[in-house]
Amino acid sequence: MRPWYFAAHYLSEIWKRRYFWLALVKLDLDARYRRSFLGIGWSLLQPLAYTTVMCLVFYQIFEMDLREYAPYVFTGVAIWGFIANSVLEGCHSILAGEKYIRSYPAPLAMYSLRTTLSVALHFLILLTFTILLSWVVQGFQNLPALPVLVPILILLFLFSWAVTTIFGIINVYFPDMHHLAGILLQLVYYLTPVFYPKEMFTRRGALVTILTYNPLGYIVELVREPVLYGHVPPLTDFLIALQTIAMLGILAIALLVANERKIIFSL
Amino acid sequence: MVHIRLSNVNLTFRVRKHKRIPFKQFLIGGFFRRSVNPIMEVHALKNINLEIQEGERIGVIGHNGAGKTTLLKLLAGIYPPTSGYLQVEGRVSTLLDIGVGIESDATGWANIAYRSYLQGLTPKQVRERRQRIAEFSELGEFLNIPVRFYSSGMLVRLCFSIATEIDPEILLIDEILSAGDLGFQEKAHRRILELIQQSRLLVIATHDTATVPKLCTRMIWLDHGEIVMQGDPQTVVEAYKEYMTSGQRTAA
Repeated sequence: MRPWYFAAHYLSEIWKRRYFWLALVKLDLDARYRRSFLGIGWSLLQPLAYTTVMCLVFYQIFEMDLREYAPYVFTGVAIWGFIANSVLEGCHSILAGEKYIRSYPAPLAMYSLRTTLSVALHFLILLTFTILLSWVVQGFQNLPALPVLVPILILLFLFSWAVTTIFGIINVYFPDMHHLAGILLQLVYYLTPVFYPKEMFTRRGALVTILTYNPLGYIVELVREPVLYGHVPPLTDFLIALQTIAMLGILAIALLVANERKIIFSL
Repeated sequence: MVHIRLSNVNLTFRVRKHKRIPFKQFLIGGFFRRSVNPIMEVHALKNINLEIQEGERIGVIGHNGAGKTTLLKLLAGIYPPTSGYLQVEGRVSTLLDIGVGIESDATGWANIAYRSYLQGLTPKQVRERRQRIAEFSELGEFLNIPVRFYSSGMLVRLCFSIATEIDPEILLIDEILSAGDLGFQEKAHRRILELIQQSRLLVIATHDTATVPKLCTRMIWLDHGEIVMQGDPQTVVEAYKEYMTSGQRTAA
């Protein structure tokens, strides 16, 4: 009973200060998009440029059907960006709140929530663009499957909150975690079907095994299935994603319990 | 019921030689030798027993590093006690380091809102508060520009106005703050005295042995994290002064 009571109290303390972290998210967004419409344009430019390059390459080498491949890459880049930003910006999440932590006692997870929300909003913009793109290229065939995105987005949000909390806390103790995480992400990037179609590797032993066991691949697929193919993702994908999130969540909670009050001494 | 109780409270900082060490150094150092970043323990508060009732005004004196600020931060809930029991009942307002918690990229108005939101206020409550803070700061149009462009005097005005727009039950003050130019300083001083009058329980850390003790009902003398003496302000201040001026003070 006690842990549940404690968790509920913790969440209510975060909720009580919602205007605070929402204001900081707004500040982050203002900084990122520079208070202009072109700002959002800039943030679309990078994934668009990447998609264009990949389309050119894959069209030349593998003669891919671009009507299918272009939205595939774009969704891949969008979700990967979400995962990578959760890790990399997550590294700074707690330190960014340092000045507040020093002056006023408040739940620690509030500061990683701020990072998650600004990363998630950026992702939502890209996702909206992806859906528009899929409508242009493939018509409205995915419309009936789109409501399934609601639970999927909730899962992604929890995933990101756990990740920003974990890396935020670790980075307080090891300031080079940021660089290390960057290298790790680079490796995992090639083991996740971001830009290459999964089917390309159906017959090649080792890589298939890694692909099957890489949980991030399932998270990418969770978004792709409804948006690109108009399918509700298979239950196994959901379960694997849930399992991953549960493990990350437990780690994040354990780190919070150990550091909630103590972290002030390490800031 | 406003009330503070500390029994056998200890606070130990575990200070590292280097503030933080990189992970790679931790890996290498952790495997081969444990002494890359030795931990030094600083016993900042030792066995503090204290009971403060509603209506009391406590002054805390002691030389630099005696634990005054640490005690205030402990009461504010920023530092957790390493051991012992701490109970603080009542809404705590602090005037510790007024400069912390300013977002330099945000405007003065936005910064006013952040602090209030952090304390759990709603936009509706903030709207009324904001006007009072703006008026007190006398910054006018400058509140519309990012704090980054403020002069240090303007920044102090803003910080002070934000920090003191409170309705204190328990009030914790670290030093009487001197803020801004002469005119503002006087105004700031008056504001602090008002707050002290309003508060139902005050703990104030100070180096001032002349005016602050007159405000207090009890004085606590801290030295090396321990309470050396407490009681009637005049008596404690006299003892403290005598100790500071006489040769008794060892170089510890």
